[in-house]
Amino acid sequence: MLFNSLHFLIFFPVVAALFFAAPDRYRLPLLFLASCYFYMAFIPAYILILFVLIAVDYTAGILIERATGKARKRYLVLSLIANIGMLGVFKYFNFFSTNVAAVNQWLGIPVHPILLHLALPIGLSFHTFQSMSYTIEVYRGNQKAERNLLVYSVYVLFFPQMVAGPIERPYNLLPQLRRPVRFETNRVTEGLRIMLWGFIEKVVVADRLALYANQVFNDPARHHGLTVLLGIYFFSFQIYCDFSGYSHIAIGAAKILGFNLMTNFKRPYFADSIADFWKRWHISLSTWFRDYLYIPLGGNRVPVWHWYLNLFLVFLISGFWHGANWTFLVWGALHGAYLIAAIVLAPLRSNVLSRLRLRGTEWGIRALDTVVTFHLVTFAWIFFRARSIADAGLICRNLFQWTTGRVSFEYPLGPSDLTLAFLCIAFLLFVDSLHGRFSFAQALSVRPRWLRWSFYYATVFGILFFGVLTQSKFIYFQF
Amino acid sequence: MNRFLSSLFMFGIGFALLFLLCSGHFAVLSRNDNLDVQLQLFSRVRPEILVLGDSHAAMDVDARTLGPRYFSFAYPQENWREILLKARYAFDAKPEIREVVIPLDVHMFGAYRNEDEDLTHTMRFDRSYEHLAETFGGRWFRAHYVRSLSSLYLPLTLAPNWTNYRVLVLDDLSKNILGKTPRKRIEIDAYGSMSYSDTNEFDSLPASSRREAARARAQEQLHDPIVCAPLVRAFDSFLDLCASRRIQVIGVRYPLTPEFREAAASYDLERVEQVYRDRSGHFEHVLDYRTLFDGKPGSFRDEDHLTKHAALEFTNRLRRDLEQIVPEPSELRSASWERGTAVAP
Repeated sequence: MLFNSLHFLIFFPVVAALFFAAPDRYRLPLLFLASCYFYMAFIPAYILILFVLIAVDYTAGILIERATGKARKRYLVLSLIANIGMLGVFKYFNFFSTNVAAVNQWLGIPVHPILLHLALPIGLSFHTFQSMSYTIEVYRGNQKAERNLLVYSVYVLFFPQMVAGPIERPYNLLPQLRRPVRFETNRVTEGLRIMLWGFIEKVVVADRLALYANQVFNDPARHHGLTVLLGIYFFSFQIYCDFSGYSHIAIGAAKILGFNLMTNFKRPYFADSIADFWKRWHISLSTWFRDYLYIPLGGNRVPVWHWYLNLFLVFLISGFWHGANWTFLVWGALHGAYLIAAIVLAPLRSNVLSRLRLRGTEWGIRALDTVVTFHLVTFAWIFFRARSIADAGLICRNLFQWTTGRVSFEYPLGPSDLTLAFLCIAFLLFVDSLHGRFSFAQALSVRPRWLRWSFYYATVFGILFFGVLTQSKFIYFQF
Repeated sequence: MNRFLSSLFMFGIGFALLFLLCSGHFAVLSRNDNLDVQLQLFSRVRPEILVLGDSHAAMDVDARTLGPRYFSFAYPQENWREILLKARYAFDAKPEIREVVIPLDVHMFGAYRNEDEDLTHTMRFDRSYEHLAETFGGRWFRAHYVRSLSSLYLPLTLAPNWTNYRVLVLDDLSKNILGKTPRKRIEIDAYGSMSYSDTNEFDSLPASSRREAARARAQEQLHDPIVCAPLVRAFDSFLDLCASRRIQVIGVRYPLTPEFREAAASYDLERVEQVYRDRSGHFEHVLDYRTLFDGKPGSFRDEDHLTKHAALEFTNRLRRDLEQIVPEPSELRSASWERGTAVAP
């Protein structure tokens, strides 16, 4: 079920109403059933995969806690193999098979790749990572194994965040699932406000920009110069609003039901370095990789070459997590390379700044850093979005072919739509720039009702009026 | 919680009132749309030969060039169910119609022509529950009927109409503030001719892009199931309707780009051809123009629609061929198409 569908707009209020009308003891079963229904709206049979994962990790958690010595590790490894194995079968098998066949072909050994004709279960990468987070934390002794199967099932299946995160940690979500929830008007209103912002990001901004970006990335041979440049910029904002929009709707929906999910985005395009960007972008995933891969690999407490290798590996794997395609590997590798380059060039930068008698904290320098970071990130997005490495190469080549200064987008995108797209980006940057300095929600909450309601009506009708109401999927659903 | 619920209820009432207001505004702005103009035009003519179909017939045939004996009642995206009901409406309203020209294209029975839960388009010329139930049917027909009826009176309950509303409001603002009347994507002239307002040419694209566009278009139109039984049933009903009214059916296969034909060849077109072959007894004539514009650059605006000048050339050719099949009585030859039949859109 898509958040931006009529189905969800009926489903969610019904679930929320039943949730608060039901006595405490029925609320968790209700959430379980609602989550199953939500997931089964995509491909019903795939709920079985989730049940298998739940059974494996629930059992693994208890066994890890009970066991001592090497047996603990053995159970953890078995659980990780089950999770990664599931990902391997559904997500990576065809990629490896095709590439092994290609290498054999290159060596002159004709081999036909064995391909599995399986659709990728929606959000598989998200719930396997959330499950792995649980067993790892139990293994580390930071989390008690959950004995209540229903609580654990809802931890994995919780519908607001099950298909595209935020990837929750057991110590944040599990305790919330056990405590009773009371209806609080302020919390519900706050949740609705967050959801509304998520819908603006997705339906008004992301889906509008997608109309342009898709034209460039789906047929790169057709577009050149300014059109390609706009397509790339638009995708950069599209993916941000698409994913951030999803996260906001998820966080808002969970808040209405009385649960606090972790923040996933903190104005990422205002980051002044790549390292800063990863502290602001898809925080639940970047902290997952930090906690469960980067630090276990030794982090930065190893020889310098090893540190660089750790960084590069983490980003390469992060790229591969996003999809079984060389484009995602290049995207991850680019980010790894950016980070290493930033560390290597840091002394040079300090030298240059000190010769210019600058400290590096001046407004102009930080603005320049932000612009450079944004462009490095945007350049990497080309590989993330392109259908193949060849397409990405073509986009990069055509980007510099400025035969005319005109844009060549096709119908339905006229000048007014293009203006609207720019206004969407300006609006987003304006809202993001206010964030942290000014609490719009707080300012609104002290205003008289007529003003608050006028604002809400304007927002809802603004979404309907300016939105692209075609129920397009969220980009991160594919991962 | 009760306070919150009563607030929510009040908010809902306010929302419903604003929604009604917007719906009313949309109805005012969208009166005289292309279908309205077509229906008005139809009420004023007395055609003998009716051209039916989807965008191929609507865009590739120039109504003015066809002359007063003909009326192009084709409309973009119409499928066999809609064509059937439109034909019934037309035959009832104009008993003098003796021939119909229909498209025999390969995409006419495809899955993408089978998606019409929204009946508002059809309801503009036939609102009869019996007719619609008989033609559209299906398990969820009642729900679709109620939903379509509500979107007929409250068009903004249909999501795509919000896009139309935005375009109309922006156009209206542009007209009233800047004094500029923006062009519609598909324009209809005083003779009912429809055309794309842009001047795109398919040939201006690089070869790889043309192939890619044709591949995407073929995938969109011809993906499985390439023959949907409900559409075939509607087609049969259409042929039966024509037979019962003694109306001659002439089939036309509209021009296509070589790129599209090449992309389409990889689909199971034989199944579509079989449908046509099984019913060949119903067509007195089939005019095949699929390759008519091969080797003529600048003829197509996209994979399967002609440019304006090619549409004129095509219409002249179609008219010449039709005149051979249905000769024009001498007394009509002098009738002026220029006078009397046109209405302002």
